[in-house]
Amino acid sequence: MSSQDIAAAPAHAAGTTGATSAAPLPVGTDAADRSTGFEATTGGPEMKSGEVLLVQAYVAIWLLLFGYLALLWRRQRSLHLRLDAMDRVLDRATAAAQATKAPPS
Amino acid sequence: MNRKDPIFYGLLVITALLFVATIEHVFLNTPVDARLGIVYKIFYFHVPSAYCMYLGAGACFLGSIGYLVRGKPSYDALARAGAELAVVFGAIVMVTGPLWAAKSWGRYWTWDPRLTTTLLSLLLYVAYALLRSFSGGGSGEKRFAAALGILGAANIPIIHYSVKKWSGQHPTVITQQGGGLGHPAMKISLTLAFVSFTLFTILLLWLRIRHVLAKERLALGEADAIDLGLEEPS
Repeated sequence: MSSQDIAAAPAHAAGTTGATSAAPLPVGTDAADRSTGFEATTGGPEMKSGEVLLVQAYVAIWLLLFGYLALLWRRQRSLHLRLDAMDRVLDRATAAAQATKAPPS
Repeated sequence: MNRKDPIFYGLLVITALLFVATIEHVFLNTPVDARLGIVYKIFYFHVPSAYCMYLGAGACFLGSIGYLVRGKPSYDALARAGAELAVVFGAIVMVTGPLWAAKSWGRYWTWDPRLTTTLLSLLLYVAYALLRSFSGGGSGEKRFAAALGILGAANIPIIHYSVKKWSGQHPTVITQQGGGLGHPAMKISLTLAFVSFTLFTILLLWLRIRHVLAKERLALGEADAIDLGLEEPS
């Protein structure tokens, strides 16, 4: 998609709501037709709410940051498990060394 | 307690307070944009996130150069932590940007120079992070990663100047001529957001560097234990 496409797109940034520039409704828009089918149109009223987009962005920011913190926590836990294993090995080695040094009773 | 711990905790408290102040100021004291409405407030998190992505990339670049020149593990840890933060903040940029664009441009994505180069940069740092996760911890792998870290940083100036050079669609609100933030509250919000995000990045960088260095020390300890004939840690 090129910049020209965007320039040609509905200009929300320019302050128009799109509702005023909406294309004329297609023929056959009475109540009976609306209950039996949908007609696609472009340039109609805005479909994306700014509030919803802002909340979505905000939720995404905190989810990503907390996801990273959870990842750090998981890595930290794995480090602790390895440290515990090292501790056990050192304890066993120390106990074995003391047993060999101990004078026979 | 490590002698640097009070600094860390102090920084943590200051950052948390600044985040509260930023959120309060952005949502309660800063007016909405006349044309875009409230959605423009994404800007106060999107732009500082992009800046923090640059910080992460810069840390990765410096760490990579330092590791190639000096070969110290601390430089490698800096590079690794920086690349991860570039991924985290790059992801935030790539999510919040399209949400803003959905309102402003009427579509989520376009192959604009800045968007494309930012995506490329994010993918480079994802590649770096994956390389570090799935490769061994040998010096060869670290040197290769350092080269990738330097290559990744080369894209950062291209992202920054892409809008000027290639006339992209991406807005340039912050300029050397003073910028497009008309209301004083907008400037205060952006300043607060920049400061809080910068401090948060420093904290994360610090935390991750400590973690990487601790892991390196543990690996050395495990190797020593095996050399001494002790049982291999499970």
